[in-house]
Amino acid sequence: MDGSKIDFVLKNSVSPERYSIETMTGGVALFDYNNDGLLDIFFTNGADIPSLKKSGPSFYNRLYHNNGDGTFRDITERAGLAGAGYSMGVATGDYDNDGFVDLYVAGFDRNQLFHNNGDGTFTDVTGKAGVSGVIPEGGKPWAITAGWFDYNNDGLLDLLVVNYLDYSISTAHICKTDNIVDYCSPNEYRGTPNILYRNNGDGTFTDVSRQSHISQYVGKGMGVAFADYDDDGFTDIFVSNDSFPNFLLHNNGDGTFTDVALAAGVAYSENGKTVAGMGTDFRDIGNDGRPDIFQTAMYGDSFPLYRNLRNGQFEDATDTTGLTAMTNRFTAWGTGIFDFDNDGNKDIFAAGSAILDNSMEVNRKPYPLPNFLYRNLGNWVFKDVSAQAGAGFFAPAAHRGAAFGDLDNDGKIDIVVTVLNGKPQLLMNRSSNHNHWIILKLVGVADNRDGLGTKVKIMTANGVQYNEATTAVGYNSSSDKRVYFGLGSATVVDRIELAWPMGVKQVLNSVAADQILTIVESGRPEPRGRLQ
Amino acid sequence: MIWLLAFQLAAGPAQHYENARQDFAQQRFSEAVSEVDAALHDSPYMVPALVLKARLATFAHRPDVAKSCLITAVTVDPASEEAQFYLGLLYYMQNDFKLAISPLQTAHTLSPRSPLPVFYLAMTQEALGDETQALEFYQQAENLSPEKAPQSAEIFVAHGRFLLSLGRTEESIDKDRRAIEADPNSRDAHYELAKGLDHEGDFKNAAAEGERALTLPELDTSDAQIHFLLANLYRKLNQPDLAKAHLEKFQAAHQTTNR
Repeated sequence: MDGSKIDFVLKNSVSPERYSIETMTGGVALFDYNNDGLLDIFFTNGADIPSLKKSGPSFYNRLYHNNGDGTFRDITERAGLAGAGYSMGVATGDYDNDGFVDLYVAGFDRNQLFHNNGDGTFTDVTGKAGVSGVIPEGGKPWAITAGWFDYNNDGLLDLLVVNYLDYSISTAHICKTDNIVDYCSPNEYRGTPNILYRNNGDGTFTDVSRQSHISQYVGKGMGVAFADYDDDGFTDIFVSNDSFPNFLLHNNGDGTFTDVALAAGVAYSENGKTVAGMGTDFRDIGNDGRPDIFQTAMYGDSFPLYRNLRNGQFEDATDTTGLTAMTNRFTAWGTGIFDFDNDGNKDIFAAGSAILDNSMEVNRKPYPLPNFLYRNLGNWVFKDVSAQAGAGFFAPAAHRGAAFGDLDNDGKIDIVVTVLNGKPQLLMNRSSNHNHWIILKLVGVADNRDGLGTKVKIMTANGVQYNEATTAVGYNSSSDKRVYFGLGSATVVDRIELAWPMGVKQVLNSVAADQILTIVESGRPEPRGRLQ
Repeated sequence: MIWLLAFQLAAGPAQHYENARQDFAQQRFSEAVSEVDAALHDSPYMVPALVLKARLATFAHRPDVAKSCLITAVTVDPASEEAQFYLGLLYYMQNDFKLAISPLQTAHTLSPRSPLPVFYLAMTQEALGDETQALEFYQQAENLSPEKAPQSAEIFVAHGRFLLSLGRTEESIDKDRRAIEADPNSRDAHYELAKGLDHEGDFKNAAAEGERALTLPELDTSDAQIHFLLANLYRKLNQPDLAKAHLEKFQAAHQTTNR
């Protein structure tokens, strides 16, 4: 990171009591706050314990401006993004459709919505917007992360806040293994309900958790990802829960959701066990137009990959893809499904680290772990190529969140990974292949300005691929909103089909490869349906 | 009573050890601890007693005591296959995989016909991520196993499970079938075979294997796991009533987590 001039250090205030929050922080967002075409980087940070105050600059959340020459400049204080409380995750989305991406920071004791004023500054509008994360008669639960999506297809981004344990510093008990103090298992505490805020379109939100049925599903959420898995035109939610059955919240299209995870086969692993679910991503791995689900977890669980079978059902493909053997010995947090080598098959990244900072003492497992890269060989087989992926994959560290995007606009997806009590890792993708690519920057007109939820299908000489616009990726983190495709040897995209959330279908033909293409929504809504 | 006390005082360390061994076999653990401590009091470097004390300490969740005993044992008698094996096993159970290799290798060298050190070497290499070595040791362990015995079934099941994790489903199924030949009453073998057949799309036979597993005594594979598998299989077989019934039983059963 030295060359990048990013000097941020993620601080968790580790205590002798080992409060659970300490091991959970560390989000990162990649977004272009000033629309200069370059992705900037935002980091969340911890706070003093037990005061939970950002008692000095070392606890500030940080925004780094991308200078475009491989270096970044800290503009936190001018931007007004230092934040308050013990921060955890971050979600990016232009909730007021003004063309500037806003920030929501989820935290243990404070959640904050920062409106992007368009002049390099942000304003904390949490109170005015009504998105404090406080549950009526339930207080402020511990939020791990959040995500923006348009659940009711009204052209406005709504907000899902993912909450974790019913936990407070004042009442937390100390957990020990063999008389060694360590971080408590989530089994020691009850879960808390998630919150869905509906965007009213006037800068305010309404908590619709109860009427949408979101709050009736009480879990221990760690990660969230969105996709329309059944192609009914409404964005669905996957919540990765920690040692608790996952949620697959099917969007019923009438403002309500139903958890179908058990019936769909994604609540438990193939062995009928819950996993210590961490980050997640929800994308089409098989290039069949149906989004699949990947989760990071802890050693002994393997990192589950659920294959979408196209009938509302998923199957656990962890064994058959070879991922069980590759992941069973490790714990990982941040993750993302992206085509890192632009060969037309989406690969998987996982940011490794054990949960306990005294893991070696407690269970003889190293705390710092390397990052992992699993290359998709096609036909649902993966290969661990971490050893060939460069120095950034050799260094074990206490990795947490990871965000994905092309920081230098060279068509290759880069990764920023946070490190607990250390500097983040900026993994610049220097793949030496000559594969082609296209990056689509979507601009909604009737739809939400970011185009989140838009389904994209491309056709090239090498076949068909699908992706969906989302920023909710991985653990604690938020990735670039642009839609990425690797094209392999194809120099032309024969056809690009877009299905915008409100029903607009748009087609582009014969598009040259190797460009960042801005697509402005154009057309009239058509009846909902799948991309044919 | 006085006579009994006198007898105990008169018994030598060998007798105490023998008493401890018998108590251990009959799961009278507190009596076994007293006897083995008496043996070691009289003869602190008696290797079989040190090994037995280590095994008792492991049961009592005192790995520190077990480790100390076993290190003493292998120092006193490096040629004790038993001490070397249990030291390797302890390291394996403690996730100290790199440390486990040396004593397990030594145990294998000292007792080349015994399948257990090689079996644990296979699992240790699997835990270390050395796929080639693990497969080699699993094969060696298989070759050393008697034709029909529960221990052989365990080796086949572990080998098959590893192959399945590598995506080698057909070979995994073959191992599961051989496990069942070795021990027709192995619940784990029937369950793993059901999983393999599920991967192959043979849902009907998979369900039959799952049902058979449910009738067998519970060891590693829980009822909940089998009900979960059967619920999925009956759903795929378009038998919603059976799927629902197994799902309800799965939900009613105690569910396990890794953390």
